[in-house]
Amino acid sequence: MLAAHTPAPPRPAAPPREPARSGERPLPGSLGDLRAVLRRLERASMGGRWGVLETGLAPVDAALPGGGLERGRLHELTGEAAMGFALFLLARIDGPILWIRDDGRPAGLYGPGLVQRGIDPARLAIAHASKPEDALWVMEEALRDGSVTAVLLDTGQSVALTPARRLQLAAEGGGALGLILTRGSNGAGLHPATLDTRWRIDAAPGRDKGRHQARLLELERCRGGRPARFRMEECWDGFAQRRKALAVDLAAAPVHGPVAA
Amino acid sequence: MRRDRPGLEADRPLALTREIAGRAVIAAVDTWADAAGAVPGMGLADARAIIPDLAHAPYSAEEDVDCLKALADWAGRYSPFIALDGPDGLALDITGCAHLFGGEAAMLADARERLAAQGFTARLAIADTPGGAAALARAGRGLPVVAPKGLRAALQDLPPAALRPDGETLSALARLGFKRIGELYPLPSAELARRFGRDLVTKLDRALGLAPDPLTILPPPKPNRVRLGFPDPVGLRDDIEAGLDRLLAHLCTRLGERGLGARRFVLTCHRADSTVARLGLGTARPSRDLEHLKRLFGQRLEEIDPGFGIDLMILAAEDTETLSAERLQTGFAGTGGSQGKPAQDSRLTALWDRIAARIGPGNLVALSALDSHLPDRCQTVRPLLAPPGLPEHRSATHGVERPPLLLGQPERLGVLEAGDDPARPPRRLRWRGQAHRLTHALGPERISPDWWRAAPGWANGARDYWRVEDEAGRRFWIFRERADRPHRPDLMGADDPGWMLAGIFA
Repeated sequence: MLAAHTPAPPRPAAPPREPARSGERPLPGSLGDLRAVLRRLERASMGGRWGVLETGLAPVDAALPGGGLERGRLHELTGEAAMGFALFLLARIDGPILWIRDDGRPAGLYGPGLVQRGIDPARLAIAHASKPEDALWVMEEALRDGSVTAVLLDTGQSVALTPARRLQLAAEGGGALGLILTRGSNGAGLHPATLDTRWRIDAAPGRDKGRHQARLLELERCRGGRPARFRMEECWDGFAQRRKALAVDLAAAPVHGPVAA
Repeated sequence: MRRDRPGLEADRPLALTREIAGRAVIAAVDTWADAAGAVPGMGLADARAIIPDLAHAPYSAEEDVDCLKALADWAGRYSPFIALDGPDGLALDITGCAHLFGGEAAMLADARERLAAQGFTARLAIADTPGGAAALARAGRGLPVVAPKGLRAALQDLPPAALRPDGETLSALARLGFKRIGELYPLPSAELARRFGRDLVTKLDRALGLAPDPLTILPPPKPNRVRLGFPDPVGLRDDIEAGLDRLLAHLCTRLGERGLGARRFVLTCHRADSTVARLGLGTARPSRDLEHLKRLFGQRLEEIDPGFGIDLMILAAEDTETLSAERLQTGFAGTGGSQGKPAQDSRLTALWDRIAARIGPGNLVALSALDSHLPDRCQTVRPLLAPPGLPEHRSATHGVERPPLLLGQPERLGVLEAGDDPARPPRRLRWRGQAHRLTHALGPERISPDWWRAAPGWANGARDYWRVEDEAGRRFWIFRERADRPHRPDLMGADDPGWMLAGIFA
């Protein structure tokens, strides 16, 4: 055994041993420090090697433990305005996108509208699976392959634990952002254990005589984070030919009251 | 059959030249240069003195042979037995083939017409022997079809050069005053052989059918198809897979030898009870990648029902395209927007192939723009694996927002409460059984159809599009046919103001 005689290489990649350090710092008052330590620990164990997708919405990114949506994970979007939020997220990712619809009906996506939302239709492929099993197969294959940067499953069904777990493992292997868009109001999608985040997105009355489109984002479940609510507004800038978005944290503002821009 | 080379530039006479002892000598001329007086063997300088605007290009014997072989492949439409006849001719054994074309004369006329359409000037003849036909074609004096037994008479007036003896024999014949082949007939062959060599006698006998003249038949082009027969029918998946692996390896090697890739592969399995199972699959771009194809087929192999057992498997590559080695490395991805690394591109197309094989190539689609300003006609959904080449999405929206979701067909909206201004959207609408109280409306955006083009759904002329929001914040894209135009009761209910839902701002 030649390898037995060679000295063990130094391990620069090993994370610093946080429990020891916390012992060196016995300040009990800084609960935030402890939280940060725990978060670091948890993320080291969770991997997080694919990086995050920043939403660009400051309060939302601040509420997510990694500073954005983790790539290589599954995120579920439900609620009647979920598709708009999904498009908003996809527009922030570069590279090819696969959109999967699982009931054999056309997805109805409209190129000129997508262009205006910042998604070039040339990087979008749409798979019309006629059976939910096929849709899950396609999603797993695409997530595992990792040559697409985001895979979205547009489904009206809930996904059982085993296939959901398969999707989760595939996403971790490939590094693509996995989005599950559950149509319908009850939106019972994936088993929570397989999800990184779950969002409920509803429409909200916009301001400025209908020029602003508003959504309520409810972060129902977040691994390593806490539930939160946000109000997100987008307005169409006809001069710049693109949408501008901003969000406010509803923990700091009343839900249905006036919102400071 | 004799062939002149097609001109490179159609507006000038052309000569092909070859270097002989440091001097450019004409090797071939086109009909125009021929008519102007240039002949093969003449120096290029001399030829240009006669024809000042003579175009010239280097002659390549290999290209000539390649072209001739391609022509031989083409000639397979007339007969399966084709041989090269010298550097510039083809010999076809049309025994038993002529009646398919309506007789020998009709066959010859057909060949002449098709060759002319391809830009070849050909001389053709049909006779009982290959040598006779070649002599007639090369000497080219009428009588392209010689009846049986008429060969001796047909050949007798031709010059001895038509038999293609070697140069020495030809000059010896000329020196002794032989001007026609017929003058050689009465001479005893022993005498001829003694004086001019055995070669001339053999050629004469072959032309007249007195000596056998076997043709060296070109092998027929191998199709991009391989087959595997089994001594006993097989039915297990492993056996079928092993057979398929062998077929794929064979086919990919063959495609590689020819520098080809295929977009479509079809596996045909003949069962023992003489029924057939077929499995076809397509790829995003031409492929001959063994591992990739194995994976694609492996994904769908269970669709083949072996029944009583399979005794013959045939794998064919269809829609072949040239696929050079470097294109294998840096190929074009089926979808745009991926100007990333080539390896990434080929991985992506491989993924599209696997998905298309599972859900059907028609179900993996991409959005393509069409050149129209009508909102429901400016995009089309095309299969992703179809060859690209459609225009990019251009914005014909003039800065007005468009929804990301468009209904396949506009849906009629019920009006529950009309607004004060009939031109503006109503206060309350019903869509799919649900009432929506509108709080805001932005618009109108008037879009008119092209009057010179019939557009289904646009029969009522222009539409006014509005972006509306209901009290819950849901946003819709609705339209009605132009408000200042009287409604047509035959197209819609008399009191139906005709509001339609076009899309949803998700």
